[in-house]
Amino acid sequence: MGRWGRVWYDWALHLLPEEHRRTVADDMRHDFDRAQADAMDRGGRPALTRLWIRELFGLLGAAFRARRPDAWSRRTEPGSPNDARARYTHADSTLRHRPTMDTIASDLRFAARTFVRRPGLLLLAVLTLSLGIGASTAMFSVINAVLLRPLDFPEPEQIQAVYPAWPDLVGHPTLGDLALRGTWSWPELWLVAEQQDVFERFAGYAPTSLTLFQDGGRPERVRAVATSWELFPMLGASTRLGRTFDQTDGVDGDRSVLLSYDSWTDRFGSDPSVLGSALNFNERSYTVLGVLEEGFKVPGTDAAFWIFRTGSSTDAGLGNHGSTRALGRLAQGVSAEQAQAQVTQILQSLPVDHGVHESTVASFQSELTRGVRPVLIIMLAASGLLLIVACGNVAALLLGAGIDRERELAVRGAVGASRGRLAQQLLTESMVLAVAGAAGGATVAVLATRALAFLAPPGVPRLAGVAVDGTVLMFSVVLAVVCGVAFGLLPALSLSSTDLAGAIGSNRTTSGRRARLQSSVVIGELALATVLVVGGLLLARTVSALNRVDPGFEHEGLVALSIAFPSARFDSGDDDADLTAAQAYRTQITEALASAPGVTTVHSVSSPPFFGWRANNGVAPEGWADPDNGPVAERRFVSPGYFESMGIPILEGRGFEANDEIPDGEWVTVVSEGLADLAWPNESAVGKRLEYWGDRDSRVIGVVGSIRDEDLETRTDLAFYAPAAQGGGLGAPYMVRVSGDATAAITALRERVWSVDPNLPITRIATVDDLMSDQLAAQRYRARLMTVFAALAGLFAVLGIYGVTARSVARRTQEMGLRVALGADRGSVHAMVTKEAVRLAVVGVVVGIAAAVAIGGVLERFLWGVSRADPVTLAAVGIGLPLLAALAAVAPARRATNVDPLQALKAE
Amino acid sequence: MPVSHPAADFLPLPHLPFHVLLALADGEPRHGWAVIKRIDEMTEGGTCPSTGSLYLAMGRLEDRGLLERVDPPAEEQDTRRKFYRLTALGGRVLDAESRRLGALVDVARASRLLRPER
Repeated sequence: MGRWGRVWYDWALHLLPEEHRRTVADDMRHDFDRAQADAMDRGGRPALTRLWIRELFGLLGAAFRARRPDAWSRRTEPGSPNDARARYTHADSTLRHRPTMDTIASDLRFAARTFVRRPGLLLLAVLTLSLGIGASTAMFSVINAVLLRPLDFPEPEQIQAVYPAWPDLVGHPTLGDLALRGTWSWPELWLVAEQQDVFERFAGYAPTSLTLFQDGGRPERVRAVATSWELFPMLGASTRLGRTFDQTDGVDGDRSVLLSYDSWTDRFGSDPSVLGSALNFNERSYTVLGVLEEGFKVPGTDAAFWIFRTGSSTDAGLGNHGSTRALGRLAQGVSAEQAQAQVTQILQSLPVDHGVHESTVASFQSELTRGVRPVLIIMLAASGLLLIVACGNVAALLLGAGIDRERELAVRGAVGASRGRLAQQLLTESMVLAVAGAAGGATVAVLATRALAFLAPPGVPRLAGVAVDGTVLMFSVVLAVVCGVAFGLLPALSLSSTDLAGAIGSNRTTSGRRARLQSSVVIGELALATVLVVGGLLLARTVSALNRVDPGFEHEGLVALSIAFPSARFDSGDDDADLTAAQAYRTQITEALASAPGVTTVHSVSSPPFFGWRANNGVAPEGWADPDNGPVAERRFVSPGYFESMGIPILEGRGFEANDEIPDGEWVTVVSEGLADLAWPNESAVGKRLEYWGDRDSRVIGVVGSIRDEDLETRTDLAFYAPAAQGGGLGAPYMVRVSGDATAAITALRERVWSVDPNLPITRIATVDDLMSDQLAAQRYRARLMTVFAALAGLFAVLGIYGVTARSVARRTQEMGLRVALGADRGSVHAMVTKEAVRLAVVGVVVGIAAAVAIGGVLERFLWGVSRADPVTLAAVGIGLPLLAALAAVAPARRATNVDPLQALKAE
Repeated sequence: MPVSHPAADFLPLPHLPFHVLLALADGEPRHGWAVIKRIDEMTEGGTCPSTGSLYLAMGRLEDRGLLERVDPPAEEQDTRRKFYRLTALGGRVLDAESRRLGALVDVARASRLLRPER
């Protein structure tokens, strides 16, 4: 808490005149720290809060007084004007302007009376602030939960994520992130575990899913993590029942499992007798060793069960790629760089050649949030802009109110209140607003935080822990105080430069300058709002561009489904008989699916589009200069007729036919247009040879169009297809085309599968349209969030325009009356008022558009199919916002045209 | 450059500068925090200046030669802190102001405005 104190204090010190600050700032900081410690000792947080208030007002007062001559300069310096009023002001400012609890309390009472007299102003200001503070606080609570809060493990900063890396493959079109952050095969992992001494603990874990067979129920697909034993001591895990794994487990081939607390309570009714019992996963028996403590979770995984994994570097499969991730707890005094150097060294000593092998070691916490950090920070910045616009709006409101109050303040000044004292009054008023805004903001934040977490796209880590806690509330209070000072300072400063005496004589001598200040604030508001609106529109246009993108096949009416093929059932030892039985089983399912109502075709495909399954293969096209280093292409095994059914155009040659399905027949492939162009430019691909899977030499029989199947942004240009029977696997997913509503067909398809085998788990079933739409969840979320910020900012800015225009009309009632009296028609008066509003808007929007284009780079990576200087967006904003401003001016303009010239002139 | 003036030029002394001079009246050099604490003690919590007000007041008293900055005492560990001490002029001003206030209090007593506390 004291840290926050220093933050605002350091900032507020800048209010002091440079010369004074230079000589005393260090001492003041020192004393402030002592005072904070002292207050905490004496009265805890309440005392600290009182200290902050006293110090803040003290500094503000000093900042005012330091810029004015003191009493002695007039009395002790010859020739100085012995100004009675000034001397009085001095006595007032030194004797009375030191804010004490008394003057603050009276200011508070006065502020309350002021606001009660103007409930509209109060309501509008508090509402604006609540939305601004609420939005920022909600975004901060997300950032706090996801990025800032340390992981819930002992010494979390010591825990590092460890990856294998292939730096030469950075920038590879299909590998992407995997080049520097690969996954391990278990033997590789054991090798590192055996040789390293930079980590106190080193463990691998692999998220997986298992089929859980339970008596009297349908088998169920459950999320699990396979892990080595060191994971639990590394993360400080404790158990509710039993124990975690240790080195002695698994030595004689025993299989063991731990339950998460949730799965123990939900699935086993918190029954302690589950300990030591056997569970059947994938038709194998596992002994329950323990139940983990409530809430234990490795971020990025969601496991109901933890199965034990052990082995050594001499196991088979050292060169293979696995899907295991690794964590290490750094040993005492070892840095992440040293650890990385050693892991790289171990990998380079590998007995098996698998390419240049390096490693990446980086803090687990920052790795977890790497993907979401940029967008979260942009959204926090956007909410910050919104808050500034909200503050601007309140400042404009107060300035406007200040114009009305000029005479009141002038009178108070004349009867002895010093400028500093009046400024304190105005600041107190804005502080009251700020505190009310903070309370409203906290309420908005609680609701908005829930909405943010609820609507968030999948893949944001640790979002479940989002809550408006003490840190977050502190953040909103600090925001409120900063806002209060920010929007209170403008009216207060403009007051101190006002000729108070002059203001009494007239009702508009100095209000012009204040009105100009109000206009500048509104222009600034509009500029910031424009930045947000441009950002929101660009993101929204990205989503709509992606929605319209053609994936290269007919995506409507397709259902993809995958099953957990019960391989263990076809394990009699007689390979031929097993294969025949398994194929018959699969055919049975295919036929059952085809018999569902509305189904036109059923195909087998090893990686359905947007399913998240991918298989990359290095291939060697005929005539490729360096056959050992061919292009990497995506491999898809499909059944005959797949292209026709999917609507993927066959550009040359033919697709697969039933003849190609003979397992021992000729190896044939169909290549994508992109691969054909890369491998055989200006030549026909049909008839060429393509080697894949090391040495499988196939003949290219056709060329088909490239499709998008990973995400909508990128087309998978390099791909080849092979007949399902030549390696598709018995567990390959199905692609079903239905006529009519695909979503409605899902239930029927599920029933058909279970009519063949009621025990067969369907691991996933979804329409391809839904899978595509899921791809856009993150983009849609970003666009919606930004649009909400933009809409609020736009609303505030337009309200600001309304305020300025209304104020200006009220101020110029006489002028308007005179114009009308002199024969101006009402239309021209109307036009004059509207023109003024539009002029403000245009200036703000032009500045805003320039700023938006200048800083648009931060959004660039989230844009697709639209540039950051998209002319349509900029034109829409450039025309739309001034149009809204004109609309906002309608009511004041009507008021202006309704001015009765006689009344207006009489009023003087 | 401090210029010497008759003590009377500084009267009446505003509230906070008077307390600052009082806090340093014993001749001991003190830093800002010690002055704050001492004022707080002397007034039994009635006056506890903020750092902003205090340093502005001390700066002005120093400019007028009522206070002077001195080296920290030998036993002080933090030698970067500034210590302040009353000058002779400061002492005279404090004396004059105290007399003035004393005289005012006498007047008030004589008019029976001020009664001894129960």
